[in-house]
Amino acid sequence: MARVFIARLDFRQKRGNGLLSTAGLLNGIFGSGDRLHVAAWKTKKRVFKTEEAEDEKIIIREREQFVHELAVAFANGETALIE
Amino acid sequence: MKNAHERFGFAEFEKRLKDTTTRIRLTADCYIGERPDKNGRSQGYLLSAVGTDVEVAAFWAAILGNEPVRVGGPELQPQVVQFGERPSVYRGTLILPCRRRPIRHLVVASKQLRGENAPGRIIIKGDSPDLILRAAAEFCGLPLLPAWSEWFHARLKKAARIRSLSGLNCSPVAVRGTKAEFLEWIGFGLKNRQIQIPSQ
Repeated sequence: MARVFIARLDFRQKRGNGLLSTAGLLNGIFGSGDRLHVAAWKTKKRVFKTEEAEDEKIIIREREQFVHELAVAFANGETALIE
Repeated sequence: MKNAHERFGFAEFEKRLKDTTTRIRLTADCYIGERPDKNGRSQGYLLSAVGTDVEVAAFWAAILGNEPVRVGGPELQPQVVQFGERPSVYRGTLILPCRRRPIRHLVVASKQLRGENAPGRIIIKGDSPDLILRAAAEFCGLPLLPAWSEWFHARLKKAARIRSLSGLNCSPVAVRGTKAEFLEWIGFGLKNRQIQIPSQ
């Protein structure tokens, strides 16, 4: 059976994917046969907050990260959520 | 569809100082909020109103100060509304050919409407199945197709996840549920052939 679309391999985080997914250009119906599926991308912002105590002072660091989440529903009822 | 002046409601703000009372009344064309409690108070989510520059500036300050405002109109009982902490307030200018001065447009969107306070809840302006499906798909990032709107609406109703809200010139609803839950429903629907993906 030929590989039609494996999101984890084909859409590794790299420049350009974010623009396409955010614009909704990667949403829709893909594949055929038993790999027929609907894909929906969503861009999320995560904030990692760390607190460090140093010389009676608390240093708060916030690191922002944008992640692309892919929700897939296959024709056979299989679903997946990939980040 | 009624004429525009018959569809408009009002948004009113009253400030009482020591010896003076200031009342500012804007013309509201859209409002979404919770159903009022016994005292006629409710939580507002969206308000769109027009007025003069001074009126809109005063109203903007009142909203940001979390002051209670009164909203009412045709088919909407007057109710005292608060928009909670840190609502987004937008102001724009509308130039009308028949008026010498432009009028100002004010839009208030609460944190709940933006989905910041309650992640498991979506507030939608209309109650049509198409609009609910579109809002859920965009808000949660769900793999939903437009043809599944009736199925999705029926599934939400069956699980009692749709609750109607109070609205002016719209029929808003609040939909409760998480992305994981909805994705599970989609998988179940596809498995049981309640919905199908059309092959290209």
